[in-house]
Amino acid sequence: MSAAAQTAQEHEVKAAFLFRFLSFMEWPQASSAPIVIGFVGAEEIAAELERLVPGRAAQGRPVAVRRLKPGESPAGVHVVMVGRGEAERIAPLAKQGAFVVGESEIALDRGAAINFLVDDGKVRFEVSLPAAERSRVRISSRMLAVAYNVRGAKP
Amino acid sequence: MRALDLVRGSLRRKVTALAIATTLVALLVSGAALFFYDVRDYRETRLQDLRTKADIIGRASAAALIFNDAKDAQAILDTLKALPTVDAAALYRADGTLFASYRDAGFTIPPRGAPAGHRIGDGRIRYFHPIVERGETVGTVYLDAYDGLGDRMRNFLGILGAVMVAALGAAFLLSGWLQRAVTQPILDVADAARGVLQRRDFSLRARKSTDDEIGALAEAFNRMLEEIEQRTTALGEAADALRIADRRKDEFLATLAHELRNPLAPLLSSAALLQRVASAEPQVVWARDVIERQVRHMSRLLDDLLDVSRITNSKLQLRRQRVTFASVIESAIETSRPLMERARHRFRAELPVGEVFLDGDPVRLAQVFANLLNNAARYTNEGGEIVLAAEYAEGRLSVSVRDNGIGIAPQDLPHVFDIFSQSAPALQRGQGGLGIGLFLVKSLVEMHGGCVTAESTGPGRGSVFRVSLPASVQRQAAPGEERPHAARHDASGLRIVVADDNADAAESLAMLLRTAGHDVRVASDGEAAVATAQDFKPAVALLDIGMPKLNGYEAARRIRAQAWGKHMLLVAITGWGQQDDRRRAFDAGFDSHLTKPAQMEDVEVLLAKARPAA
Repeated sequence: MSAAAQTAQEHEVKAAFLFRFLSFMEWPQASSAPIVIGFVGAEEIAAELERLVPGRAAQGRPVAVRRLKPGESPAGVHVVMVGRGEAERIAPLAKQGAFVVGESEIALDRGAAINFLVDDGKVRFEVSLPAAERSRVRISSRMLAVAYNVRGAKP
Repeated sequence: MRALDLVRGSLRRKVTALAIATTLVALLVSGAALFFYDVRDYRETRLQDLRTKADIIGRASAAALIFNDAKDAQAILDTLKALPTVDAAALYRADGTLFASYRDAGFTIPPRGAPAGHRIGDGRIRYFHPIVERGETVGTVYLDAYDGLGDRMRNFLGILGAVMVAALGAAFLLSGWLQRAVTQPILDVADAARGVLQRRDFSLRARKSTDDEIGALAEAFNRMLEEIEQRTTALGEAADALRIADRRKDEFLATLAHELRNPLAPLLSSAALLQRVASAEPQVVWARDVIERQVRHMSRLLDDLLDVSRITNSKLQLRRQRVTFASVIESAIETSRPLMERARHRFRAELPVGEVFLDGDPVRLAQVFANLLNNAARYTNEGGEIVLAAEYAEGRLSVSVRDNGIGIAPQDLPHVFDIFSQSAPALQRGQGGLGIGLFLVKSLVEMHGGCVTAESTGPGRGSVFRVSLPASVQRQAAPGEERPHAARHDASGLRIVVADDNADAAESLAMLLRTAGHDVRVASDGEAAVATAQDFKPAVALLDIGMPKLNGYEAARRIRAQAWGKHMLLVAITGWGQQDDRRRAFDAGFDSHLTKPAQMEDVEVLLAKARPAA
C-alpha cells in the first residue's frame, strides 16, 4: 500500500468515523435541526465528509459541513474537526465550549474530546471524557468500548 | 390376539380390552398432539433464544464493526465459548466479508455473510442476523447452534412411554374394578340364565345388585322366570290332572268291560244250551241264532275294549310263536265271514303261493286282519267288493285290504288310527262302533314290529289299508302250536262242580255241561264250592274268582290242600282276563284259566285234558 493511497484511505476512514461518532453522541437538547460539523483545516476530510452526508442522517438528523474561518465562533457547531496543522486552535475552541476532534498527539492535552491516531496501520481514536463533559456531550459506552484509549474514565 | 377378540370371549375380557384400548388410543392421540406441539414450540423457543443471542452479540459488536475493531469483535465472540450450545459464530461486515469468527473443532464458518434467515437441519440451527445501528445495517452475525431437538424428542418419547405403561397398568386395575361394578351384575344374570337352562329350575332368580339398565334387565328376567314358573306349575298340574283323568278312564273302561262281560257268560251258555236242545220250532231257532250272534258281537266289542285298556296300560303281552300266515288269515276270514255274507259282499283273497311264517301271537295277528276285514265289510254298501291281497318280499309281508266302500275324507286320513276316532260318514251310517278297532290294529301291528297305513282317494271311493310285517319263508325246527280252532273233543261223563255267585251264569254253564253228558253240581260261593267238592269229589271244578265268603283263589287253595283235591282239574273263570290275574290263578293252584264268557269249545278242550285223570 503506497503512502499516498494510505493517506487517501486515512482521510476517508476519518470522515466515516466522524460521521459515525454522531450516532454515539448525546446532546442536552433534543432537536431535529441538522447536526453541524465544523472544520478548521483538514480539508481532505471535510471534502470527503461532504461527499458522504447527502441523503444520510445521524440520529434522524441531517448532517451539514461548515468550514470555520479563522477567529469564527464555534457557536451552532456540534463538532469541530481541527486538522493536524491547526492544533494550536484547539485550546481556544475548547474554551469556547466546542466539542473538538483532533488528529495530533497533543490534541487531548489541548482540550480536544476525541483524537484520531494510527496504530498498526489502522485508524483508531482516543477519547477524553472530561473534555466531552465540558462541552456537555455524552458519549455512548459502546463507542468507548472500541476506543484506543479513554482518558478520565471513572473506575 | 385373544384378549382383543371382541366377538367371542367373556364380557369380563371385553371390558378389560375396552378399558385398555380406550386408554391406549387416548394416550397415543394426546401424546402425538403434545409431541408435535412441543417440537414446534421448542424449535420456536430455540430460534427465539438464538435470535436474542445474535441480537446481543450484534449490538455489542456494532461499534467494533463500525470502527473496524476486529480485536474487540473477537473478544465479544470469544464470550460465546461459555455457551455449550453455540459451536461456531462469525461477524461479517456490511459488504459480506468476514470480520471475526470463532469455532469449535469440527465446525466450519461460511466464508461470506448471507441475508438474514435461519436454516434448520442435522440437529442444528444456523442463523444469520443483521446488525443494524441507527437504522443502518453495519454487518451480520452468524451463529451455528445445536438445536437439542433430538434429545428433547428422546426425552419426550421416554416420558410418554413411561406414562403409557403407568396408564395401561392403571386402566387394567380400573377395568378390574369396572368388572365388579358393571359386568358382575350381567354375569349374575347370565349365571342365573345358564342355571335355569341346565337345571330346568325356574325358581332360580338373578341377583339384582344395581339400579341401572342391568338392574332392569335382571328384574325383567326375574319376572319372566316367575311367569314361566307359574305357567310351568299350572301346566304340570293340568298334565297331572289329565293323567289322573286318563288313568281313571282306563280303569273305568276295564271295569266297564269286566262288568258288562259278566252277564254275557250266562247269555252265551244259555244260547249254546238252546242249540243243543233240539227244537223244530223255526221261531225258536231264529231267536236262538239272533241271541247267539248278538252276544258274540257284544263279546267281541268287550274284548276289544279290554284290549284297548291293556294296551293303554301297557299290560298287553304277546304270546309269540312261529305261525303260518295262512292259518292267521284263515282265522281272520272265518271271524269276518258272517258279517261279509250278511252284507252280500264279494270277497276275494289273493295269497302268496308258498308258505310264509310270522313270529307273533296268532290270536292277535288274526285279530288285526279280522278287524280290517270287519271294517271293510261294515263301511261298504251292500254288495260291495272286498279284496285281501298279500305278498312276500325280502323279509317282509305286505297285506292290503281293499274295498269300494264309503272311503275316507282327506282331513280324516291322518286320524283314522287314533283311539275313539270316528269319521263323520261312518257315524251317519250308525255303524260307528267304539272307534277302537283301528287303534287296536295299529297298536298290535306295531307290537309285532310292523306298520299300517290307510289310503283313500276320497269319500265314496273306497279305501285301502296296508299292513307290513316282518316275515320269513323258512320253517323253523320247532313249529309253534297253532290255534286250536273249533276242535271237537268228546269229553262226556265227567263230574264237574261249577261255582259262581251269579246264579244265572252258574246255572246256564251247568246246564250246558249237563247237556254234554256231564254230572254237574252248582255252588254259589267259595265255601259252598269247597264243601261241594269235598262231598262230590269231582274231576273238574270251574271256579269263579270274585265270589262272596271265599274267593276263587282261596277256594282253589283249600281244595288243593286236600288229598282228594290234589289231582282235580281246577279252572278259574274270570272277567279280568289279564296277565296279572292268570298268574295269581296259577299261584293259587289252578290248572287253567278262562275268561268270561267262557266259550263252550274252550271248556271242552280243558275237559278233554281232565279225562285221563278221571
